[in-house]
Amino acid sequence: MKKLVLFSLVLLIVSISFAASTTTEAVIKDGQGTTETITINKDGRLLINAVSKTKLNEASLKGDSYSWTAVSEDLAAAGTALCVANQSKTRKLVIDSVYVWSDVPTQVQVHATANYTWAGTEVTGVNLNRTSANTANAIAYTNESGNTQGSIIITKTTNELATDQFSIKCNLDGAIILDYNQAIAVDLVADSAVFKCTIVGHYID
Amino acid sequence: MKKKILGILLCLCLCLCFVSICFAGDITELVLRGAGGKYFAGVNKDGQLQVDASIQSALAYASTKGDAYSWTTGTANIDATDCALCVINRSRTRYLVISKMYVYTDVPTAIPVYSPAAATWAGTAITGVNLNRTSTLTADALAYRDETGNTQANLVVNLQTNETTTDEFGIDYDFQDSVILGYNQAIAVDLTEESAAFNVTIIGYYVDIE
Repeated sequence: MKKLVLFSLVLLIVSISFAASTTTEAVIKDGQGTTETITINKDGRLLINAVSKTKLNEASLKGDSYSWTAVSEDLAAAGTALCVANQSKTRKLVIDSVYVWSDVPTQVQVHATANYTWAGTEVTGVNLNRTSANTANAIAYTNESGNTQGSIIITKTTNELATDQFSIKCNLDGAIILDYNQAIAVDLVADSAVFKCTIVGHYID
Repeated sequence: MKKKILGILLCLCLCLCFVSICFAGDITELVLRGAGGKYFAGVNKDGQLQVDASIQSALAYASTKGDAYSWTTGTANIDATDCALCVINRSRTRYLVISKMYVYTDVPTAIPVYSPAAATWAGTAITGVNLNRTSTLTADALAYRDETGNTQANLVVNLQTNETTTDEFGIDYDFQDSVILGYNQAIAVDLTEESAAFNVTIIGYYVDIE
C-alpha cells in the first residue's frame, strides 16, 4: 500500500511538471473540409490571406459613424467653417477625414480646440449606417464663433491665386481622437463667401 | 486506520494526477509548425507573431464572391438641382456598402451626396455591373439616372467642383466603406447647377446582415 501511495505521489509530480512545462508543436489545418495545412516560410512568417476593413467601416456596421456637413454661409476672415465637439463622457470620437472647399484662395487650418460657449448655426450629424437609429453624441456648428483657435493639426492651402479653387480632402486615418468636450475645427483664413466642409468620424468605447 | 489514511492519500494523489493532466492543455506552450514540418512561426521581441500577409480590400474580397457592383450614369442633360444618380438597396437580407464615387460635370456646381427616404422612384433605369466578370449574380438594387422622385435629405457630404467657369475636374470620393444601406435605403448625387453633360459612378458591395 505504501509503495502504491509513493508511486502515486511520483506520478503526481510528473503530471504537474508535464502540465507546467510542456511545449507542443501544432499545425493549423483548414476547418472547412479540405486537407490544407498552414504554410510558414523560411523567415518564420505565417502566411495569411487577410481582408482589410477600415475602422470606419467597422464602426459603421455598428451604427457608430457620422458625417457633419456645414451649411454654406458668408464666412468672415479667420472664421470657423465647421466645428464638431464630442459630448460623450464614455466614448471617444475618432476623426477620419475632413473635406473642404472654399471659393477664395486661402489657408485651411484644421485645429483641435477646447470647450467653449459654442455659437453658430447648428449642424446635425448624419449616421452613415442608414439602418441605424443611433444619433451622434456631439454638437456641431457652422460658422462657429465661440472658439479660440487651438493646436493646429494641419494647415493646407488652396491651389489658385484667384478663383477656380480645388477642394481639399484631409485623410486623417482616424488619428485625431476627441474626448468629452474636446473639438475639431476647420478655419478658413481668408474671407470666404461660399464654402463646403464635411467632417467624418466614428465613436469607440 | 493507517490503511484508511493511505487509501485516502492514494485517492487524493490519483485525483490530483487526473486534474493535472486535464488542465495540462491550458498551460501548454504552443509552437506553430508549417506544412511539411520544415519551418516554425516566429515571435519577435515585441511579442508579435510574424506573418506574411496577402491583403485585399473588403471591396475586392466582396468581388471575389461576385458581390461588388458599379452603377454608371452615362451622360444626359439634367436640370438644376436634379439628381444625377440614385442607387437603392432592394435586399432585405444584405446591406449595400457604398465604397467609392466618381463625379464629373461640365459646369461649376455644388454636388450634394445624400441618403433620401424611400420614394416613388423615377428616371432612366441603370443596371448595376458586376465587377467580377466571371459572376452571373445581379445586383439586388434599383438605380436611376436623372431620378426625379426623391427629396434631398441626410446630407453625407457636399462636394464642389474646382472651376468657376469651364474646365471642371472629375472628383473621386472615397467613402471608405462607411455608408451602409438597408432595404429601400438609397444614396443619391445631385448637381445643384444645370448640367448639360456629366458622369457619375457609384461603387458598392453587399454584405450579409449578421
